[in-house]
Amino acid sequence: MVEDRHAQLMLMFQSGDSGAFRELYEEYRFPLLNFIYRFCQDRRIAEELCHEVFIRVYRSAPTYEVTAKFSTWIYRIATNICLNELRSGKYQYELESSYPDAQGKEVPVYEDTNQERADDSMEARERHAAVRQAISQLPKKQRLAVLLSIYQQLSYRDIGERIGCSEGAVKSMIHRSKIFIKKKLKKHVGD
Amino acid sequence: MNRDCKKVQNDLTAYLDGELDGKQRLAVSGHLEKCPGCLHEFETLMESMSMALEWKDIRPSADFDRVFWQKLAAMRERQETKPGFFSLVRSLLTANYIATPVALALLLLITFVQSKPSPDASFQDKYMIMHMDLFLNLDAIDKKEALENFEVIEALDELEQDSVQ
Repeated sequence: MVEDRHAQLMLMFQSGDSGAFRELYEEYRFPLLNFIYRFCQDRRIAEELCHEVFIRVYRSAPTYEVTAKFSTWIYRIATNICLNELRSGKYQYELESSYPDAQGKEVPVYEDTNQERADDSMEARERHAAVRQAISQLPKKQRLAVLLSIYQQLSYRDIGERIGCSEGAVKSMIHRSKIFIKKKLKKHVGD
Repeated sequence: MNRDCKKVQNDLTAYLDGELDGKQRLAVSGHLEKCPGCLHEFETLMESMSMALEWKDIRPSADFDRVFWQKLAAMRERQETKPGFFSLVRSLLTANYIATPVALALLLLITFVQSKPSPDASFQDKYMIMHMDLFLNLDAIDKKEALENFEVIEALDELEQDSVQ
């Protein structure tokens, strides 16, 4: 009996239970989308890449084996997609100041995050922009590690498993990244 | 900054993330109690991380799910109607009624290639025509001895006079 509930669902899906796949999709789409979104900082690309993750999960069902926690496995797929798909040049990856909505109207990127409202102060917007900019300037693998550390509060060991690095390498990457972020946010934190 | 400060500051992120063991944690917290410089670094780091957490999650766009299920349905349809090249080859080869004739054809092909005669004279002629300049040079090399005799011929008169004397 597999203890990992999500791995169990994946095995059920492998045996033909499509409801199990739907359940996995429902549970992971939100955290995965945010993980990818913070990495590429473009909603449209993040949504496409997130779809790609689930399509790969779907396609790998016949060969799936429980060798690690399901969450580790699916984040490994997401990490590979983030590193490889964006490198392939298929996506025009850059920090955008706006994006077109369904009607083709340009929407400022700040509204894209759903949590900033019109009454957000200028200072809050500046702080938000500074955080995004600092994170976007990190090398890709460091960025993945630091996102998992800050926003998912994973242990260094779990982060290492998800991005395919040793625990020591993760410790070093996170230290450098967080010190870098601290320097970039210096003027906002009253240093 | 002394050596202790440097070591502690290298461990500050791991300390904040709860990644140090008991002994290391005590060493860092003990140092922070008595070192205002390192304490300030630690507080700034904590504030920066809190500020980073102000970046809230986004929600999927309204058509996120619909687009995904459409993509998945399209992919499944493609898989069902148009098998990939390798799966097609594999399925053909695993079918018994195809595998035997294919194996026989491969055997015949290998036998034919191995029994093919070596290049014949006409091939050599064609090769010579294509590389005529090379062959002309070869002729010149063949006649190298004759060229060397030219010097003898040129000096023939002198040689004859010598022999008469």
